[in-house]
Amino acid sequence: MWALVVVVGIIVYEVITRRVFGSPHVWTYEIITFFYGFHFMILAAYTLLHKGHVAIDIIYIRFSPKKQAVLDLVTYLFFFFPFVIILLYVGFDNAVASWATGEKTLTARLPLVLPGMKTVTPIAALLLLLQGFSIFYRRLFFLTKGREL
Amino acid sequence: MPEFSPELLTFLMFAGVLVGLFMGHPLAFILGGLAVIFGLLGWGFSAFSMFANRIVGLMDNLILAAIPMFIFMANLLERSGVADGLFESLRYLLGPIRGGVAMAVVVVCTVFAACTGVVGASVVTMALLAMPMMLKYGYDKSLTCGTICAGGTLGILIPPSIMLVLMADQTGLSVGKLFLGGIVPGVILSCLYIGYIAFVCGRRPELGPPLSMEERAAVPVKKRLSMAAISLVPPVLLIIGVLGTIFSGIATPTEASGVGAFVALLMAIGYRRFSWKMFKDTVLSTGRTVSMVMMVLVGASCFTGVFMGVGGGQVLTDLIFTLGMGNKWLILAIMMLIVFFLGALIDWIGIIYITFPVFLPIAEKLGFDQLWFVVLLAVNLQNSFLTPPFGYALFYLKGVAPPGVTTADVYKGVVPFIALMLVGLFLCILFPGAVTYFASFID
Repeated sequence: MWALVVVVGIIVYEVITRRVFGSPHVWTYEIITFFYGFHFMILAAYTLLHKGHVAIDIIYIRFSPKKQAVLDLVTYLFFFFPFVIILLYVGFDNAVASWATGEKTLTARLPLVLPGMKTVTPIAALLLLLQGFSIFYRRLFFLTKGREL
Repeated sequence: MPEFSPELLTFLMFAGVLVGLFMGHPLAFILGGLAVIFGLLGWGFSAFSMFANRIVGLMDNLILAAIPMFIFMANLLERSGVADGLFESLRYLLGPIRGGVAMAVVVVCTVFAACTGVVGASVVTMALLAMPMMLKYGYDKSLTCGTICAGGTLGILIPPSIMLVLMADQTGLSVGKLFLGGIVPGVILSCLYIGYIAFVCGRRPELGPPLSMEERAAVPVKKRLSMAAISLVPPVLLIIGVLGTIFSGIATPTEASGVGAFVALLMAIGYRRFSWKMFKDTVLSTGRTVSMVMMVLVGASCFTGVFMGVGGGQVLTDLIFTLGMGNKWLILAIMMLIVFFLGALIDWIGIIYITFPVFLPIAEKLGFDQLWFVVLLAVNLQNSFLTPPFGYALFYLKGVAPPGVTTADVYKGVVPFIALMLVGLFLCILFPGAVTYFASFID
């Protein structure tokens, strides 16, 4: 699954860079913004997997591995899951409304772009949620069984 | 649902950020999680529909689309070995002077900063490149750490800078104008660093000894000059190309960033560093960096929406005016102090999102020039990378430093440079022309 995300990331990059050299049609801008938005949202879960999100471990690393696991469980419950679940929920609502009305972009009147973009939020949130579950489960497993999964 | 006063909510929101950070959770999700918790407390469930709109606002944004491409460009340059060649030649060129290698680091950082605009890239590159070398020559550990952190941080100020792109998006000023405004303050800081290194190493040569005679003899002066020229020309051309097209209005910053990334790719091929593996690695590492930056934006955007919604902005504004006692310079000082202290805790993205909606109206009310004010904040935010406990440049440096270098060395080393940054900030306040002069040439 992550490989797919990776491939998508690469394609998106190629498309973005190529589009920029194209002739200046209005629609290219809208495609660029779409791919740029798609790119960073979808890669959020991939970045989480690789511990790429900026965090401060200056105090965290001083705790024992067990205490670190407890800290992770608490912070994921309090911060991560509420946020991601809310994103999934409101993002889904937003996307459904957009598809239902068949929203078009303001300048080039392209169909599909805006609904597509709004669909990215719930998908990214879902991927984040799955990755979050995976991390949560690993930490819980480590805490109860005393070894890494 | 119980009623909470805006003052209490404001305080609790900031306290929550601190608690989350100390617990080692990613900043993006701390901000987002707090937005959810306090959205519920202060507002109810209806607060959340705003989140979706704010995120789409970040995605459907042609200005911010320049960020991933500038980061891509930076990563390509980093891997094409531009900094290696430049450092190598400048090391020989400046080596005979006391503290010369440290100065070479600052110069490379300044040039490299102008090509990248990302702090992590330049700090890590310079640390890997220069740190073993400087320690081998007997440079003081603290001075070494301070130089690399401070120099690497220049990347965020000297254009093209992703920080200035974000600020342009937040203020409505053009990216080109902000880029022009950021050049002189960046050069001022760079000169201050070099001056400081010359001063301390001049007084105490043991901190930064010159190269030995044998080493100097190995490379003749003429060869040093030609090496420097060869390694300097391509990156400088790239900078001129990217910035020139933006300033002259030929291309939008977003287009220029895309072209810049492409040229950087060509340069990597030209330097014979290109391979498909290198390309794939670059694309992946770029993806991670971009996502890291943008997810903090997502979290911070939701956080700020809730923060302003529960009246936190008003609380902060009142606080600033009360403490400022109606004196506009005192108010300016207080705003700068707030940014400085926030800088010790959260990163620049969060600071920009939290403070801009509050500070910009205040600055406007007081009659400050908007461009000048925004660049002042950008200069001030340089500190946010260096100020302990949470200076991000420190973490990057510590992450790649050789084993003999302790956290204490790093912390001790950045102190004089933080002072120099404040001097630079003060100079920009004293001489607003440093910021506004060049920017006045374009509309």
